[in-house]
Amino acid sequence: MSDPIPSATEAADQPPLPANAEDRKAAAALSSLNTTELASSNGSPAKGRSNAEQEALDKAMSRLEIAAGQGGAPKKSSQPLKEAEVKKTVKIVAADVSFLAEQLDVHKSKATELLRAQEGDVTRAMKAFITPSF
Amino acid sequence: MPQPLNSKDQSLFRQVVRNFEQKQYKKGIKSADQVLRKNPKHGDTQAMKALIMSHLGQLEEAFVLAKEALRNDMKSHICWHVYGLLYRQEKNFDEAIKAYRFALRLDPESQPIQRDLALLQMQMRDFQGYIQSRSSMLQARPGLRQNWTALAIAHHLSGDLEEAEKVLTTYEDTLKDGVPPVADMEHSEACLYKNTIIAETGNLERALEHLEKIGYRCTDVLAVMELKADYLLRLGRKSEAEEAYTALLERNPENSVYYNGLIQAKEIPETDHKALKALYDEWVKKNPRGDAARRIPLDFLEGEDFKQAVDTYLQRMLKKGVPSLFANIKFLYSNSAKRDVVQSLVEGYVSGKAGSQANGSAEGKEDNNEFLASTYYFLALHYTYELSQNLTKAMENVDKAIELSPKAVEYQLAKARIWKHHGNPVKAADEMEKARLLDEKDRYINTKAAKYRLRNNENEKGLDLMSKFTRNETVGGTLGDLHEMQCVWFLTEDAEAFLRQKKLGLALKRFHSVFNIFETWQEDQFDFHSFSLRKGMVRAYVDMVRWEDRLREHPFYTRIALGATKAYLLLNDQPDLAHGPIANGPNGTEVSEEDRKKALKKAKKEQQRLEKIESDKREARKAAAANAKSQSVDGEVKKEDADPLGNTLVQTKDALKDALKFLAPLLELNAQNIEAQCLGFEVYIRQNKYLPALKCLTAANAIDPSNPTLHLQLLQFRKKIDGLTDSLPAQTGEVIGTEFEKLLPKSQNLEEWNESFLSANKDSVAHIQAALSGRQLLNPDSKAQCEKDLLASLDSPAVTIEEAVAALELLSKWGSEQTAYAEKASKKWPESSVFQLN
Repeated sequence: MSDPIPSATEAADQPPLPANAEDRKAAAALSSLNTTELASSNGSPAKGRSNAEQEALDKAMSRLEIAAGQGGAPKKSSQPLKEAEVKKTVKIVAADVSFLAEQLDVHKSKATELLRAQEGDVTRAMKAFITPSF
Repeated sequence: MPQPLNSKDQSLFRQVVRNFEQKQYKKGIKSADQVLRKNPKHGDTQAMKALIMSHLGQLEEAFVLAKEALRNDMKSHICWHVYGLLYRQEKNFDEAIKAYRFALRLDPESQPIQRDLALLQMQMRDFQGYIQSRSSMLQARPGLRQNWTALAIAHHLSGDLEEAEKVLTTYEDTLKDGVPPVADMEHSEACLYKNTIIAETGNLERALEHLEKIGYRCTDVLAVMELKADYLLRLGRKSEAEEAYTALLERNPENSVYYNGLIQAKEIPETDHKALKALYDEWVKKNPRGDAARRIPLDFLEGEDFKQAVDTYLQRMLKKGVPSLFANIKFLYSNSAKRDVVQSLVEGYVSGKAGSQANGSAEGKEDNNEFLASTYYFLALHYTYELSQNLTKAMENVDKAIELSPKAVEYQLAKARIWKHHGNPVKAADEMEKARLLDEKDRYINTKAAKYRLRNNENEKGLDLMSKFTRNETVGGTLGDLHEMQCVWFLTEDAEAFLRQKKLGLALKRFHSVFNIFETWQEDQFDFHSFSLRKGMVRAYVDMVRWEDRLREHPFYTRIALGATKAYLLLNDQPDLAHGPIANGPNGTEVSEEDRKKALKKAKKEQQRLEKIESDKREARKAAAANAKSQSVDGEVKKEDADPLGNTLVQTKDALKDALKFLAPLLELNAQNIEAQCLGFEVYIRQNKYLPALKCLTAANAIDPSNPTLHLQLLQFRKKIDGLTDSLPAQTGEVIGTEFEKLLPKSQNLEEWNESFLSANKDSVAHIQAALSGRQLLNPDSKAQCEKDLLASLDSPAVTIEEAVAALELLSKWGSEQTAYAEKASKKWPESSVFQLN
């Protein structure tokens, strides 16, 4: 197991330097600039950067953020969203969950999952549980 | 409220942190104490001290101190971070994640906290959380390529291929001005990684296009070639695929996958043996020393063609004296015609029919002897193999081989194996010992000899042999080293030997050891979440993550899980066994209550005696350690095992629950294993958990409806639920009623059903045994008849030694006399030792 380093020092987290000089320059410039500026300005195009690569990176970042929504929140592609909506319409009774968990000897989360898949029908959930999955 | 430190103490505190990083733990504690003397309520220092203590093995005390630190300074991110780190050490990952999150809320800029959180999220496969962490890490340091790659991996593993590719492309676009040099491994790997992601979307056309664009600059040339050939073939571009596979074969003519690809690309039908053979022959010509192109045609050739091909192949290999020849040939034996051809050919060689290729008397006698010896050896293995078994002939042949070449280790080894198949582990172990003595420096034969000792339930002797190749000065001696080296095979065999002797404590101890090793393997991936990224080896990393997800599919896990479950079932059924093996009544007949108590007392006494020996040993070691400081080199203090005999394991409150800990991963990952399903039923039915029990039955039924154990279990289940349907909750009862009806209808007359099963399977001894057990279950009065029928099953031509041994166990389960059966079996297999009742 690796020895975790406490947050009290930042120095130990320095990544190994990139192999070629140009990259090293960019990395050095970036790590001094971005930690403060980028985080606070939230990806707005920075001005006055000398390095061309720097600009390209910044552009890339903002492109990514626009796609992913501000602040790096996980972008949910439309499909899981739809699924989540469907899930919400199913009403799950808490008593059913604990009954099923007890009868099937499974964790409550697994029982909920089973019930969801069967639209909250306990009997059908039981049947689905005992049907072999292969 | 946090206590402010004066500048001197501030620098002392920094000293503590430095000490910790440089692993100077003792110094760190000293400096921390210095700070705390003046500032007894300084939370950060307390937290750091706690962290150092945890690394010195005082985890419990560390937790106490860390909690106090938090009380003193609720708003310190250091305190929360340490709290998370302690939870991580305790492997309570959920709590650790919570603590990290809190620390991060207090100090959102902190990269170490962010990184620790991310690694843990990956370990827990919390992909949504991981994506979030990785996004903010990327924002903090967009200049580092590994941050981009990591975000791509996060999206990839969470199933969002499109987003993963987009992240990689976005970074690549920033490189337009200067493409990294060819030697840049990270770039090369990232490109190929992107390519595999594209391929996973199923759009091979695009994957191929991308590969053509980047491939020439990738360092992993072989991977590029293999991917290209695969894409071309799957896209149906046959002539190009043919070229690609030919190029691969030029590099490595021993890989059968390439041959298959080439054959598909050339569109040679599977039935066109002539064309196939011609193709392989061409490669034999190109690589006269190769094996694959000679061996593979034997798989598909038939009749006279097969005979000719196998004849040349066998003679060539036998002349060279290749010891692994039989292992390479035996896969052909599933086809009985091929088996017979091989047998008659090789029998022919020993009677001098192979001379046609030898150059008469010009060849020395020595060469001929070698040829003969390896031919006898081949025949010995041939007649030992279960599909062509004739142990008498095997023994004759092996003796001839040994006579010609008395120093050959593998010939002697084969002899031991023959004794094993004779059902005589005693002689087998002795013969293997002889083989070991021929070459004491050979680790392979030493291992074999140890294994055969264990098969003969001689645990101590086995361990003794192992000690010749272990570091015996480690804590715990030989056994300690075997644990440290994660010698899974030994621990498993040792456990199974203890289980056979009904020494459940020790058996469980070993099973748990292996279980813990698998846990360690799961743990081990933690380092790679950061290491692989740093090194840029992403494709291998993704493979590893996927492998870890299915870790407990491993055959050895299956074995120990089944073994441990059997041990726990035994313990559940006969709680007396917790005190060690109980002497059975004479010949395994039922014992009276008085005798039982006497035997139990004796077992307890023995148990105490063993404990005394162990604790004496421990004392002696402690005394020795006090003299010579026995700290291992890396400064870590190795804890002495407090329970070497597994007595706490065996005194469990709930053996069945413990069994499920082993079995549950198996039922989930390896659901196709019928033995696991059957054992799962046994556990659940004892817990009165009817639905999970029924799940095991339906699964077993789907795998093999004619399985004998399943038959018996269906009867048991029907009897059980017919007795209690009323007491079940209505819905459960209904589901069981309708679903079990499909397996064994309620209206069925069980005795008729059982007898018809018996007559339908009267050629298989395992089925007979199951049906007889079923008959006893339904009608306990039929015991005498069952015993008679069981004895008669020994006359079946198909009966094997394993089945006969199982029958003995069955008799003891029924509480019946074993003598008659054992005697008859002994007569049937005169060389065996397993039927000697003591």
